[in-house]
Amino acid sequence: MTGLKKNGGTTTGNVAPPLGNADFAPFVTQIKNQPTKNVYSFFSGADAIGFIKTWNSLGLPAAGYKMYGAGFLTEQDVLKEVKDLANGAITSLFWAVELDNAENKSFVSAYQRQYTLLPDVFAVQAYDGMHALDEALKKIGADTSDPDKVSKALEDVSFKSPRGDFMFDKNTHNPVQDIYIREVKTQNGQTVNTISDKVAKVTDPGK
Amino acid sequence: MSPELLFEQALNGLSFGALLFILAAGLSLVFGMMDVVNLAHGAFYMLGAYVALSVVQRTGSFWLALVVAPLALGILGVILEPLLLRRLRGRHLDQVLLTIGVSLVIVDQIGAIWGREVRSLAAPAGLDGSVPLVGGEYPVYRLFVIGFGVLLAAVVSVVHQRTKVGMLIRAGVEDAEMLGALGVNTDRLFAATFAVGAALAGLAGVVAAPVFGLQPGMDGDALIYSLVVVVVGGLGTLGGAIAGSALVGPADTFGKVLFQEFALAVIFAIVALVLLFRPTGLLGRIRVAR
Amino acid sequence: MTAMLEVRGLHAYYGESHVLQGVDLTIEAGHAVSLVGRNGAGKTTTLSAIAGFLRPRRGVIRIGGVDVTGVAAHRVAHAGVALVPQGRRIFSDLSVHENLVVAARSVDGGWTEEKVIGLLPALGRRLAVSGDQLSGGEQQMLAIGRALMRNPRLLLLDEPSEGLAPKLVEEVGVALAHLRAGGLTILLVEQNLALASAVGERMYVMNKGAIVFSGAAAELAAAREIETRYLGI
Repeated sequence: MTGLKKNGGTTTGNVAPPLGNADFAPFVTQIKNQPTKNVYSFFSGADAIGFIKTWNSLGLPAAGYKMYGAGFLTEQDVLKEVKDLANGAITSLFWAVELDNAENKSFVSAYQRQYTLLPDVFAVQAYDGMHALDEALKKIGADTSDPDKVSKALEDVSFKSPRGDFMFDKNTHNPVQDIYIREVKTQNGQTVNTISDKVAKVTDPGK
Repeated sequence: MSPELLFEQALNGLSFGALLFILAAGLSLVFGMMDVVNLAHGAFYMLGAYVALSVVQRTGSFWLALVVAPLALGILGVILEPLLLRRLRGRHLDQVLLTIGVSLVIVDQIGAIWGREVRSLAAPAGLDGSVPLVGGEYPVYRLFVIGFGVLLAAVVSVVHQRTKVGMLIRAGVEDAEMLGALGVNTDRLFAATFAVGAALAGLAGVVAAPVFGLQPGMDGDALIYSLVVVVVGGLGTLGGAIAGSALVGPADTFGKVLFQEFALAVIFAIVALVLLFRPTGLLGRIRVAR
Repeated sequence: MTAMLEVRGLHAYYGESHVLQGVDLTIEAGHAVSLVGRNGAGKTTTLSAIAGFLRPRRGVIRIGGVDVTGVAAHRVAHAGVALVPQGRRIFSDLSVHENLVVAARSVDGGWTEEKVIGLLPALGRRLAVSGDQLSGGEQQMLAIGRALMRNPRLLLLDEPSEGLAPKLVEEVGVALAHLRAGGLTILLVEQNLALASAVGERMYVMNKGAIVFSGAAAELAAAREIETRYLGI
């Protein structure tokens, strides 16, 4: 919300379901109480599925409401359950299954050979995590006797990930990466996040 | 809140309450008859939902699932009661502890069989759309849930008040031991009661699945809400389950949107108030400990 | 001839406390026996053990020659035993009619609702009333009527006079005398010695979990020492 205001945006109100909430109808109904039709949300997994399904069944798309959110809202684990109900949702994340680079193409096809599903962001995170460890261990010849050396080696790791160029911020140890603006579309029978824009080399402000 | 939104929220609350009734009726019945708070009730609910998922995947029929899942849970109940609970008859706290164990096993097996990712179940054809209503569109399925809950409450009430089986249940809830002295086989009565309780949990699981989805942790949520309902309504009485769910469903819905910061506190505040002024619940009676 | 009820060397515990310490008791078919004694002597426990509420640790209980030691209450009931328990324990949620029906067993020549009302007319006017609306006397009549609906061979009663006005105690006595005259075997546990000796042709006195006296009602009345020591008269 701070970022939104800094860039000239305003909010009209917020609705906050408690964690572990099962019934989204009260909250989605409450959205209709707001003067705006642009709704940003932060859900993932079960909550995202519940939210999107309720959003549709209470007729918000037909009434002209538009869904925005952090990318986890429409990751593949959610999309495989809600399918085209999420179409049109715009979210931001450091990866999307439709991302057009060589690493991602080979990652997605390798993943699909192993499992019958499209990979989701959690698979990418695990894959990159192991990749980073692998690079670091190679650099120090797998000698893990000195934890500081391992940590230093990890700090210096950089490689081409399915998400694009990947490196660590030396100060915060957060990744420095591109953030993609994605729109959910159903194409060739699969509901996926398509890339509509990108913000390059974003350093996570969190410490 | 505009009148239209108020109406829509009322429907949200009623449909939630209707689900709670299906869920809590079984818990209340088992407690009333056997003096056991069945903490596996949430796991039975969860299992019902997953069995329904499999039935729908195999046959495509939600309606078949609505029959098969409660049946499967009923069979499980009729096996578990003599196998486990009966051995601890009269040791109520040990029985409660046992039901926790049963729930852990069931939930773990669900994870092993169906996986631990989030799943969802589509509402059956004909009920999967929305209808125009004051304030916009409203999902047909949630209206169906209200109707189903009310119908079930009506049927169960008639059975409870007007039939031989209902008479046995009312007598057994009051004094099962005395019923035994009058020639009723309480072993069989308890097994049947436990089976019906499990079947009702399974039924609630099927009906809830298209609304709430299926995911790890759903058993705990269901258990807590059903406990709240029976405590508020009055332990072990059918009227209590009806009154409790009719109050808790809408109260939870309005509490969540009107007092966002205290969303979960609202229903527990109701529990505290009810217990303060009516320790036996809205329609509960004082039970004589024997 | 086999006895209707035969209790031999019965030992029973409540938790750690040794409540019954070798109870011996016999009732011939068609006889009425009263079991008296102070509070805590073990009278109710004896009935509980016979009715199948409490599993005895040792000893034997036979109904009409059939061993029913430690079996479930419903099997004791099916052997022909009916209980009018302490505190009546009628189903307060059920109507009087339902209380009778829930116990009913269709045995030829047995008790029907009409016959029960014939014996206990107070119930006839209250059939549709729920149990919790009944007076204490009516509840007691209902508990007796409910037991009779089982068509018992042996009727166990636990302090039916408890909490009743003298006039009602008299009514209970009349009803029991009528049942006895009809050939029903009766075991009556009673604190009210007048009722106990009016109903029971034979008296058992219990103390500290064992029978300390048995004999005809007149013999007990003559044994002043027994009355003083065990009954506090």
